[in-house]
Amino acid sequence: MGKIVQYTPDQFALLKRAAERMGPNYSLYHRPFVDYYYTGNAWCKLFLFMQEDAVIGSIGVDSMRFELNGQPLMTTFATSYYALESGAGGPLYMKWMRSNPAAIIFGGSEDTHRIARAQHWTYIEGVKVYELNRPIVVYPQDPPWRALGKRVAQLLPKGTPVARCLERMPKEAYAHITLREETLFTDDLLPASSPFAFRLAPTVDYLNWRYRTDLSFVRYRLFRILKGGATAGYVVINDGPRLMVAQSDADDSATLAYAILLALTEVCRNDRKPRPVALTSSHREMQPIFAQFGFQPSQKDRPFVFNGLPRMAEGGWDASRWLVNFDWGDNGLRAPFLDQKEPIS
Amino acid sequence: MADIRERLIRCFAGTFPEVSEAELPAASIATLGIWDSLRSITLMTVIEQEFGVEIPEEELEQFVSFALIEDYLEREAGGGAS
Repeated sequence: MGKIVQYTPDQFALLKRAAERMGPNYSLYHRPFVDYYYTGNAWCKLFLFMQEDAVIGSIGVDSMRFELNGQPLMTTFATSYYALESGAGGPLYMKWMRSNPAAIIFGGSEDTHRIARAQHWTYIEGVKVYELNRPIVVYPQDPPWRALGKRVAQLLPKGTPVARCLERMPKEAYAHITLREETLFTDDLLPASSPFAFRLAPTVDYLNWRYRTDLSFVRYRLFRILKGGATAGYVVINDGPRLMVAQSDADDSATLAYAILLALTEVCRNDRKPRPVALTSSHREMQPIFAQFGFQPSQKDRPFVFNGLPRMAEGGWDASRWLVNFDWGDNGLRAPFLDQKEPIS
Repeated sequence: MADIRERLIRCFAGTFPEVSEAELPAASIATLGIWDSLRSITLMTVIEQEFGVEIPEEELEQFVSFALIEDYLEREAGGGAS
């Protein structure tokens, strides 16, 4: 018979053995990430399904505070959901639901969505991934002619330096906005009022844990947004080989969109090659600003799915005034990590 | 207790319609290849509805075989799971 236990660092050797079976470069293989994200904090735990001395499944549960129409909404976000033995995912899923039935999936595997659909979760429409300088990736399933074409294309100069993209924007639209890089979140960074019907609205403690700026395995850059000299919000950039707009918030949507572009420009200031950039947005006023900058929206939505939402508004949920950032849960915390020296095959 | 077994077989039969009723009491995730995570969740949801219980967190790992689930339900019926 198995047992579900909460991960503690003394179990890392067992977890690593399981992670080796989970797939190449699986995040749970990397101890600095695992121990930081899943232990020693008030928000995020990892549960292991143990059978004798082996880990046969895992699920991480990140407790996140959102605001929906001005009301607090505590939800859980599942991470590292993995079943190595048939059926192990069921008890782990129920463990997640017992912790809080109000839950979010943002992204997720096809197996996860089979479960979500069967359990009648609510799919939110309109959350797009916006990409700039999208890398050309050769997939194992590509036919030979396409793979060859992609390899040739990979050799050609491609993309636009982010700083050059800013020239596409009207200067008067962002002339009153400046940024100041910070190392810590403070209360005054959190917007006092919000134009967003839905957004992540955690405490400063959560932000200082989740987007800590001096971690070894991921590099977060935090920028204070100043509008006419007064603080209007913040932007966090995940500064890796692919840039990601990790988390952001402000008291006005247009200011936030331009501040995001300024933050990206600042982070890329010394880049020699155009770096890929990704962000997510469902906001009808922010999306055209990102598109004008050069971002291309995904054709398909990125799955954004809820369980246990309050009663649905008449006509369904309208995400066009929502602020949906990419790096929620473990979305920006994936192997290979910046300090990872031991990629597994 | 016979009633519990009968109702549990109904739950299993609804979740695994391709398995004969005679085989269900021996079913476990180790012996039934089609017992994947989705079926596992479906089974737990059906059992909660059928028996009017909310499976406590500390019992979730029991839900990997017919015998263990039956054992849990019998303990529950006998005055609460220990």
